[in-house]
Amino acid sequence: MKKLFTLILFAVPFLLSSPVWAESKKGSMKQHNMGEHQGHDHKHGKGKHDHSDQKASVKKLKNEKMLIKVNGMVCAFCAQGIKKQFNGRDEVKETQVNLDNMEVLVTLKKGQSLSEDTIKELVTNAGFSFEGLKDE
Amino acid sequence: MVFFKPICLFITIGLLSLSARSHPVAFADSIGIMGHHAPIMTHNQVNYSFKHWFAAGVHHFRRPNLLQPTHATLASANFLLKRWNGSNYQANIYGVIGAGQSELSGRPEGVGMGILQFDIEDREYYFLARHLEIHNDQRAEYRQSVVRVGLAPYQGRFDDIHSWLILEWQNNDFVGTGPQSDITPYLRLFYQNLLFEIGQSFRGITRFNYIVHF
Repeated sequence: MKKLFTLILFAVPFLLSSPVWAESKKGSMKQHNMGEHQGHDHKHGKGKHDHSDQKASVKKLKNEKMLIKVNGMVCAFCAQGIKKQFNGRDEVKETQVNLDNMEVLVTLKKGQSLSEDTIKELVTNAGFSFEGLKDE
Repeated sequence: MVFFKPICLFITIGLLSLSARSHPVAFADSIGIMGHHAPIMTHNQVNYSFKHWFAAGVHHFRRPNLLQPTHATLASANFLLKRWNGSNYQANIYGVIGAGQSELSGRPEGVGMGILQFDIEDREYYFLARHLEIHNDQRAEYRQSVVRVGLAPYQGRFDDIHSWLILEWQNNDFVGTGPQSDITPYLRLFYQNLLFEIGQSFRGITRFNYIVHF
């Protein structure tokens, strides 16, 4: 039994240092389009581009319906989690999953909103990757 | 030669088709109940996923086909070690470590358990490889290796009934009896949070598996 417990003792720190932690940390640091641009509008000189799309997506956060692009959502059984995560929020009226396009359509209750960080967290908790918001 | 094409087709479908989303860690704040039932061994487990990368579980193993059925009961910590979320696929590596008590070798004793699993799937194909070991302080009491391939004959919508054709190779190595391998074709059906699969191996062993997520 000593060998066994020694093995477990070494295995736990190894598992805790596994790449999934690093990835989730990296994922949380990764800036998705409009999230860091809320509240300002600017244009770059060279490689000039405006952020009108991003502004539109920011508005989506307060819209009644939000179309969320999700990576990794290939299985209806596993995707049950994403429905549970969103439906568990008071702000959410209904959640629809489209496996063909890997999209989640979230309908909010009247006057409710969800921040992008919250959406990202809900998608991550379901085990998938948040890829951004799409225009309907 | 008449049967050559159908046999090739069957083998191809079989190799491409396996399925099994027996993920030891599910979405955050979920409970997963899973069972693998066969006359040579049953394995039931309940897992609670605290995070999408970590779950705690309880496992019960039983060898029902012995004159004096034997059991093992273990607690486990389940880890999603790595996940790749692609635009049309998902791949995972899971690690499970556990400890408990077993009488699979004939007498009650403390044991440890380790499981390593890799799976990758898209909406049409699925592949899984898993190895499980239960060890006492001297030797392995039970080893199980599983390789599965799956094919979805159609792609349903989220709320449809989904089905998969699965071919599974399984090797069970009990202490004192030596390894036994067989191949089992399964039919898997799932609807919303309930999944089950049934098959009979080429050696005549009937297997039934289920998964429920809450």
